[in-house]
Amino acid sequence: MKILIVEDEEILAKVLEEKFTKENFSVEIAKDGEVAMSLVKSFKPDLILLDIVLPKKDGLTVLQELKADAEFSAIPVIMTSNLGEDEKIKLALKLGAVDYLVKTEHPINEVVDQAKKYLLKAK
Amino acid sequence: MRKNFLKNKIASLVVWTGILSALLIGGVAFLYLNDFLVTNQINQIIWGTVGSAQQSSLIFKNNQLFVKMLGTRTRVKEYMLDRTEARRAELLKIFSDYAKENQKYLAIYLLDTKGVGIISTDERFLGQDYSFRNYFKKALAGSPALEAGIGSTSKQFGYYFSHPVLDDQGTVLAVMVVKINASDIESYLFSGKLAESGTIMLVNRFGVIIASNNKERVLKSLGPLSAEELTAINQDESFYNQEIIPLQYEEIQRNIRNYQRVTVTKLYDEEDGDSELVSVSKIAGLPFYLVFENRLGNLAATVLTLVSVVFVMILLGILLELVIIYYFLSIFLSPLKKLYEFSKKISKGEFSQKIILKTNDEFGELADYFNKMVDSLNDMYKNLDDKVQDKTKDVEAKSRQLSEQKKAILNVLEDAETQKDQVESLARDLEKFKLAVEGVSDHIIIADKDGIILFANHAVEEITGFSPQEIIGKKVGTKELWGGEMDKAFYEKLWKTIKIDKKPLVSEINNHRKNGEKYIAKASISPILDKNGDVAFFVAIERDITKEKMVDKAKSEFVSLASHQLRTPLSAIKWTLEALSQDEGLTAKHKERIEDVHTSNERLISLVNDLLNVSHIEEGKIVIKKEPVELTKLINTAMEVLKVNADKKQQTLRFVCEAPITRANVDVLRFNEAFTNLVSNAINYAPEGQIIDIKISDKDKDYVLAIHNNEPIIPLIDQKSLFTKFYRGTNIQIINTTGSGLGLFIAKAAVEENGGKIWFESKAGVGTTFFFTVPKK
Repeated sequence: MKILIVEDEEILAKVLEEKFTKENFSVEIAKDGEVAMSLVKSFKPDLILLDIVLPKKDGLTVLQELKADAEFSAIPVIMTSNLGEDEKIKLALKLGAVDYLVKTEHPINEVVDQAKKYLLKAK
Repeated sequence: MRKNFLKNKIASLVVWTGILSALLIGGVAFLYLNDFLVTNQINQIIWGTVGSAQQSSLIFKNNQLFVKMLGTRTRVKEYMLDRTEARRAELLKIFSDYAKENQKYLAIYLLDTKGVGIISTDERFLGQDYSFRNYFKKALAGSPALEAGIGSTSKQFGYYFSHPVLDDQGTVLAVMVVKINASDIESYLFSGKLAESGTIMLVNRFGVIIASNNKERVLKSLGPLSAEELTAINQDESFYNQEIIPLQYEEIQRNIRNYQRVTVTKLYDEEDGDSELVSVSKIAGLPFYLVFENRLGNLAATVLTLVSVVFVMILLGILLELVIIYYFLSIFLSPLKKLYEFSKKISKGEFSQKIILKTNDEFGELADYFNKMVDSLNDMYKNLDDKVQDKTKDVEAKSRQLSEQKKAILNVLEDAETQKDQVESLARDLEKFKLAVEGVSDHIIIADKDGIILFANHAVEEITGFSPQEIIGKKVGTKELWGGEMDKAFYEKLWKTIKIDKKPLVSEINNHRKNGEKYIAKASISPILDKNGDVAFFVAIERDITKEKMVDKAKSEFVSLASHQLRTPLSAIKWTLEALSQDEGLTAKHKERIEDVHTSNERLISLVNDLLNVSHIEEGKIVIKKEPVELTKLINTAMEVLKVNADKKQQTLRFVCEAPITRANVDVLRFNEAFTNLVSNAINYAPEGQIIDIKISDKDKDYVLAIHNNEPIIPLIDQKSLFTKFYRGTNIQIINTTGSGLGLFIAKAAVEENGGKIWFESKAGVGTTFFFTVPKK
C-alpha cells in the first residue's frame, strides 16, 4: 500500500509517517504542492492525504490538477486541513476529494481507519 | 257628468238596431209571405176545388148506381113485357118503400118508350109526357143520364137520374127515372171548408150555374149565352120558363166550353176593386163543373195583419231585450262603477284604498292592475315624503351645524387669547426641542412623504459634508447626496417597508460623503402617520458606524486567523500524544500523564472551534447547500459519536421516531452542528446516569426534534439570554467551567440557516427540553 502524505507541518508529517509505516504502508512525504505533484507521478500512490494550506501550490490546486489528469484522477484523496469553513469543505468534496478531515477533530487512529476504508473501496 | 253614459249608449244602440231589423224583417216577410200565401192559396183553391169535385162525383155516382139498380131489375123488365095490375102494384110498392125510406128521393118513376109516366111514386107524373126531357132522350138512346132542372109538372128543382130498361135482346123497354132533391146534393157540396172561404158554384156544360152557396148566383150563366145555346137549353126545357142572366165570368165560361178539366184564373173585379181567384174542376163522369171563387183582397189584409203581429212581437222582444240588457249591463258595469268611484278616491289621494273585484273577467284584471298602480303610486308618494323628510332633516341638521359652528367660532374667539399664550409657550418648547435635535451627534433628517428633505440637523453636515442648503428640497437616498451605494433591490425594499407597509426600518446602509469617501451608516427610518393613518413624513436617524464596523471586522478576521494558526499546533500535539500513548513500554503513570495533556489539548481545540464558528458566522462565510436526506440516518450517525461521551457519564441516549417518514431537504453540516451541540449540552450538563431522550415527530410542514433531560433546570434569570453569544447560564458555570458560551448561539444560527426555529421549555419537575424544527421541503 502506497500512501502520499502532503503536509508542510513537520511534526504532523512525522507522526503520520510513523503511524502509517507502523500500519505497513509505504509512505512518501511532500512538504509543498509542487513536490506533491512530482511525487504523485513518480511514486504513484494508492491514496493521498492532502493538506490545503501549503507552500508553492495549495492543496485545492493540487487536487484540481490530479482530478483533471486521467492517469491520477482515480486515486482517492482525503483532505486533511485545519481550515474548517464550510465553503472549503464543500469545494474540496466537489472537486473530487473522498473525504475532508479537520485535523483537530479526529484522532490519528481514525485517520488511519478512514485511509484503510477508502483504499478498500478503491479496490 | 252622466254616470250611465255607456249603459244608455249600448241600450239606445240595441233599440235602434232592433227597430231597423224589425222593419227590414217586416218588409221582407211581407213580400215573401204575400207571394207565399198567394201561391199557397192558389194551391189550396185548386186542391179544394178538385177535392170537392171528386166528392161531388161520388155523390152523383151513388145516385146513378141506385137508378141503375132499379132499371135493371127483372120485375121491371117482366112488367114491361106483361103489364099486369099485380105486377104494377108490386113495383109501385117497391118504389114507394125507397121513397119513404129516404126523403131525398123526390120521385121514383118509370116512363114507357113514348115518355109517358106509367108507374110513379108521385101520382101527378102518371100519364104525363116527358119525352122532351134530355134525361129521357138519352136513356131511350140506351145510356144512363143525369140532368139538373126544374120539373115541368112539380115546378121543383132537382137532379134527374135516368137509366134504360132493356129486354134480353137489348131493346129499350122503358126508362127508369129517380128525381133527387137538390138541397140533398148541395148540402154535401157546401158543407166543407171551401164553402166558408168563398163562393162554390156547380155549373153545367153551358156555363149555367145550377147550384151555389151564394143563392143569387143560381140559374145565372157565367157569361153571356149564344142564341144556339139558349135554344138548346129551351129545347131541353131543363130550366122551364126561367130567364138566365149572364154574369161577368166569360173567361171561366170559355174554359168550360174548351173542356178544360182544371183551371185557375185571377180576375179583377171592377166593382169593388178587389182581385179574386176563380178555379174550375170538371166533375169526373158527369156534365158538370165545380167553380170556386175567392177574394184576394182578404189575403193581403191577412198578410198585413200577420206582418204587423210579427212587427209588434219583434218590438216587444226588443223591449224585453232592452230590459234584460239594461239589467245585465248594470250588473256587468257595476265593477266599472266601482273602479270609477275608486279612481275618484285615488285622485283625492286616498292611497290606503284597495279595490276588491271578485269577477273573473277583464274587470278583475283591471282591478288588480289598479291596485298595483295604487301601490306604486303610494310607494312613489312615500318615497317623495321620505325624500322631503330627509331633505328637511338635512336642512335642519345644517342649520343646527351652522349654529354650532357659530358657537364654536365664538368659543374660538374667546379661547384665542388663551391660546395665544399657549402658542408662545409651545414655540419656546419647540425652540428647545429644535436646539436639542440640532445638537445631537446622530444625523437626523425629516422628509415629506415623497422623500423630499424638509429638515436636516447639524450632524448631517458633519457626517456627510453636504451643507443644509445643498440638502433641503432634495430627494433623500439619491446618488446626488450620500445615497445610491446600495443595490436597487435594497432601496425598493426600503421604500416598500416605510411607505407602503408603513413600518419603521432599521438597517446598515453603505453611503458616501461629499468628498467621495465611503462610509457605513446604521439607519433607523420611521414613517410618521397622520390621523387617517397616511404617511405624513419620514424621520431618519443615522449614525456613522464605519469605524465600529472596521474594528469588528478586524477583530473577526483576527480571531479567524488566530484560530487557524492555533489549530495547527493543537493538532500536532493531539496526534503526537495519541501516537505516543500507543507506544510500548510506557508506564501507567506515563500513560495517565499523556492522557491529561490530551484532555487539556482537546479543551483548547474545542474552544478554538467555537471561536472559529462564531467568526465564520460574523463574516457571513456560511454557505448553505441543501440536499434530500433521511433525518433518522443523520441522527443515528451523530448519536454514535455522542454515545462515547454519554457512556463516560453512564448516561443513556434514547431515540424515538414518531414521524412515519423523516425525509427533509437540509444542509447536513448545519443540521449536525445544531443537533450535536444540543445533545452535547445535555450530556455535559446533565448529572451522571441520566437518560437523555431524543424524539423526532411530524408537525404540519415541519419535523420537530426534541432533546430532553430531567436536570438541570434553566433558571428564569437566564432564559431570556440563553441564545446570546458568550452567554453562560449562572448555574452552568458551577457545573462545567469549560464552556465557551457559544454552543447555543451556534446551534440557533445553524437551525435558522436550515429554515427552522429553536426554543426550549424548562420547568422544575418536568425537566428541560430543547426543540428545533426542520422544514420538510
